[in-house]
Amino acid sequence: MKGIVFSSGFFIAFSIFLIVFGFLAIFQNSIIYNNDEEMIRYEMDIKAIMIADLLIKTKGTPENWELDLNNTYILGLMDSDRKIDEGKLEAFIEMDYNLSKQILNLRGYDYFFRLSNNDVTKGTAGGDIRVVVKRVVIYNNEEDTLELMVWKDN
Amino acid sequence: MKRNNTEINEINKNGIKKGFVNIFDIMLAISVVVLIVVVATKIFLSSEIMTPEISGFRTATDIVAVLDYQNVFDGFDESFIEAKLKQMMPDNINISMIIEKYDKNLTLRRTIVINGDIEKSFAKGKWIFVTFDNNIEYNIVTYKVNFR
Repeated sequence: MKGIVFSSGFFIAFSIFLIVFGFLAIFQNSIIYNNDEEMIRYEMDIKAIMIADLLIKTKGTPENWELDLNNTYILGLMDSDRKIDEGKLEAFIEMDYNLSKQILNLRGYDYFFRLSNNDVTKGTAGGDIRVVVKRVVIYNNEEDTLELMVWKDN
Repeated sequence: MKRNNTEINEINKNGIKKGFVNIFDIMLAISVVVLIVVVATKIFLSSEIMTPEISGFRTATDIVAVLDYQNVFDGFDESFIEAKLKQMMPDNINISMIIEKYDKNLTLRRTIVINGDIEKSFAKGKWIFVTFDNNIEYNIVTYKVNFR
């Protein structure tokens, strides 16, 4: 009787342990992989949201940065709230891509910028895991959608 | 010292029971703790990631701001505002608005509802602006945002 109680109890406990252990062994990779992917996506989301905010809500630093690209600290395209300044946009589009990445604090990432109604673009879209932020702005007195795509560079 | 059989049996029985309970308890406890850690990690990580909502809410605020800057609200024309809103709304989000007009004494004069009224929304915001039509008027746009 004692032996039966001991072995059946041990068997139940050991089975539960094995099931949990097996579950973890099988799904460990996918759990870690998913979390990694989610973390990368989260990081990219935050970067994209912050950069889009900077672009459409600030004039940049210095305010007339478009006159001297090499001394630009912060990129901003705003003329007034959510209205894009044509001169700043032009300077941004013509700016060296790597320099713009550096100023936008996007080292280790790539980006693609587009004003969809006016077909103004910078960079080339790419990346397997990428995030897109869309903001509505005014450009040339018309509403437009600013799209910012961010992904990890290779 | 000599013990009788019944006493010895009782000691053995208790010893075996203790051993069984210990092994069972330890394994069960480890399994439960591991499960809790895994589930908690998953829940914690997934609850942290709310960026699509943040992004969606920002887009909705942009739309309301742009509608204001383009003087779309000024005429208080329900169908015109709704048409402009639908023109700007991205495919993945739905926005509804309640626009209230108050006179200079802050008495509510008119209310219009744009694009229905979303019952379940993940975000809600207000945009306040002033218009002049002989007299000063205060307008409050309450907007709700949800994913389609």
